[in-house]
Amino acid sequence: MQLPLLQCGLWALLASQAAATALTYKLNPNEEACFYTLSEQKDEKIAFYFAVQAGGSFDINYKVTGPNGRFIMEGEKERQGDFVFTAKEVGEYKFCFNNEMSTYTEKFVDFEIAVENEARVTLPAKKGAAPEQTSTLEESIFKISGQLSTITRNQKYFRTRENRNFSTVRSTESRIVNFSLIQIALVICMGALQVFIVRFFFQGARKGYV
Amino acid sequence: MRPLLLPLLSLAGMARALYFYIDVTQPKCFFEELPKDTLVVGRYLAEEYNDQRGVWERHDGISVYISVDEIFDNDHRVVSQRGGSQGKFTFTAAESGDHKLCFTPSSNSGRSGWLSAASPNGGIRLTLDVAIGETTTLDGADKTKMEDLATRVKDLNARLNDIRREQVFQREREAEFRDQSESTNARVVRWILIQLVVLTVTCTWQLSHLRSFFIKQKLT
Repeated sequence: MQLPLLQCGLWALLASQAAATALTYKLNPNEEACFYTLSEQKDEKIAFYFAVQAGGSFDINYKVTGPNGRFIMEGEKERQGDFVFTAKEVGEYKFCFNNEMSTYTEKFVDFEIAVENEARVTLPAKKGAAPEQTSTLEESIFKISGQLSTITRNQKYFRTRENRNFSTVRSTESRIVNFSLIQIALVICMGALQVFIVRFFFQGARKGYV
Repeated sequence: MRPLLLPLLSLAGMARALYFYIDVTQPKCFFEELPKDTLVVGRYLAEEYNDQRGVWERHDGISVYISVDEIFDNDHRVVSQRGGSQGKFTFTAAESGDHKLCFTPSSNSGRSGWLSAASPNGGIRLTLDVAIGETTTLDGADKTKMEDLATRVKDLNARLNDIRREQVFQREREAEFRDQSESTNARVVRWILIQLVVLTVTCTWQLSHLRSFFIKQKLT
């Protein structure tokens, strides 16, 4: 009883694993926030996705550094990014977001950092199943899993864009009110000013001289 | 052997998750927009730097306070629990909307002189593994079941359910967006009419005022 469980445990560890964490963090103005992940084997793929969900012009500065401070990538005022890079060294990878460009706008950044290791072991479906049959099914399931990941990613993209649309419409609404009030005030002021200037021309000693 | 293996497996999963450094007693918050009925399972591990041994390790004096508030309707607190240096929390989003997950660590190790995360090796290192949706493969116990193809298909099914729920949420939000656009449109029309009225009134007032002025001055 113990041995199959141990064997299953080992198989499960060796099977294709991806550890991914998706979170949304609020960056205050002038704040820098860093997140770290460990790469334990050489040549693992690290996938880094981020999208600014709300705040200002929806852009952020970011910087990715490898172990020993090795520079991997950085960007300034980017709205979203989706990168996969190979971790050539083992160690701690640092992903930093920087909101120093804003003096009073806070930014919400949705990010996902996934570490994938390539070891794939074909697992037997059940005892007695033919290996060719199993591997076709496996391939199929793997493909479907990949497509589902694409759909989820697309949905995230739509959500980000929808947040931006919402923000544009709200700002349009407040702009309409503000500019209308300014225009009304200007019209009334100009009307009064014109009347009083004309009156001034025709008054007093200058009655006949205009 | 058996009781040890499963926790070891779960720790192996944690080692590859995201971590960050926080000041003690300072909350670190994450905001998640969740569709209705989404299950969220999170595991965390809090470690502090041990000066004598020179490594980050957990000890029994660390405790982490986890709180989840929904911030779209009266900031109602959904989860409020205090755990040790390692643990797990679960909650289901009752309504669709923004939820705020906050983690506040505290430590009684007495390293209060340099407990700020800004100083080297200061603060608490919090490792987080949060799974949003039904794809909960966090438990060490569940990983051992993944070798069965039928379970893999069930996992695909669960992910499809997640996608469905997100789509329903997207429809609701799109309806809100449509309402907002319509109200902005109506507002434009209303303010233009107000401006036309003000303009006409001003013009009429100007002409009548000047006419009466000129008649008084005996110029007309």
